[in-house]
Amino acid sequence: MQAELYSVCGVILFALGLIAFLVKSGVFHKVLALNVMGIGVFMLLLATSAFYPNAIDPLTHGMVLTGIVVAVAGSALALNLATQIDLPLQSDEMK
Amino acid sequence: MWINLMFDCLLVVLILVLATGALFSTNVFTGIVLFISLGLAVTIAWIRLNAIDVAIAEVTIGAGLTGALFLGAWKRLEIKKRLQNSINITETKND
Amino acid sequence: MINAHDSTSLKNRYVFIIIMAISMLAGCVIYALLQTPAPQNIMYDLVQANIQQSGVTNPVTAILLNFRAYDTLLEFAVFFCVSIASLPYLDAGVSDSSDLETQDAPLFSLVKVLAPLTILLAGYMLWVGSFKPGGAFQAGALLAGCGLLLTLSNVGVTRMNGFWWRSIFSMSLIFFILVIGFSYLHSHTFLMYPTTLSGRLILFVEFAATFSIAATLYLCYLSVRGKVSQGAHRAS
Repeated sequence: MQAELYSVCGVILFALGLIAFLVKSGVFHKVLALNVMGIGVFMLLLATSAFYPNAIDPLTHGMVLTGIVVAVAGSALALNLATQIDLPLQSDEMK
Repeated sequence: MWINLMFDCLLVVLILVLATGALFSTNVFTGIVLFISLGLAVTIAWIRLNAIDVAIAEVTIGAGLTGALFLGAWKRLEIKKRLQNSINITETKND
Repeated sequence: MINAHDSTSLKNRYVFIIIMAISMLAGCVIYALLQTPAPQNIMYDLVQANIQQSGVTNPVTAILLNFRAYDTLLEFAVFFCVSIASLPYLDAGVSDSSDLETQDAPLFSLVKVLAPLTILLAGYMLWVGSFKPGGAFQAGALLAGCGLLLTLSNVGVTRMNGFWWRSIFSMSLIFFILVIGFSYLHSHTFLMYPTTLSGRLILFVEFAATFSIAATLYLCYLSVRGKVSQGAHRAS
């Protein structure tokens, strides 16, 4: 029951992030939405190893660990580029 | 047994509410602060899923470092926007 | 002639279509998730059967640095590329001092206590990764957090172009390649550590990786933060 709950939550997080990525404008909203999509994917991955609470799946944990660190590095590069280009921070209307 | 399930349900509701607030808020600073809180709530979810290494990495990198990254970039873009606004105001005054 | 009302309703229609489409996608994925049977649990038993040969007891560390060491090698290469890409954005700031001067008294006393403790905790996290949850990534992130704390209280580095800084960025890759070369001499196979030395080799690689990861994460933060003027050193 716990594993299905968290995997559904992961899918909903991914969907929310994708909607915000497509709908909201402005660079901060897009990078935040990408990060939330990443968190949703990690939750889905980790929930598949929760079916057996005593025997964790260490390969999935290693993959999520690598994923977290690479996501931070990607966000840092995206924000670097965003602060260097001269677009407005947030446009005045949606889309 | 039911208290585990209730705690998991409440945690999932907290995560979804925080994600919606972080993604769909109009103020960028509110979104960034809610994103840091989302990172902390997701850390508790990783501990519930028996992924302790991932939880330690998420609380330092995901919540701490990504939050500081976003706040630094936001501050820098705020300064740039304020400079641009003051330049626009002086230009319209000169006209 | 398109007036404002038409364009707003067109945008609302697009937003509605996007939300509907993604909700349907999420619904289909959830339905598929709840139909699939539970995954088989072979990985835990496989790892536990071979964990004596890997030199560490923590299964996640064994997988990251021994059984799947190739993925970690490529991840260190990705980090190296990120540090190269972030270096040009580093502004030589005004505050290049090494004195801990800040006007916040709580921050001052907190940093004096927390910075050495964080370094000690990072070293502990690196060592304990062999048999309990921990490891190189967590230790490196703790060290980067310590650097962040020092930057917020006006002590920090602003130039990372020198030889020693660049050698810290590339330390993880260099040490890992040395370990690969050494184990190739032993066993004539790519990435097969000698069994008696594998615990020590893993600790060696993790030691280098801690400093590399810490330096790269700190560089990412500094390059995004940019130049902070002298009067605003209290800001983020």
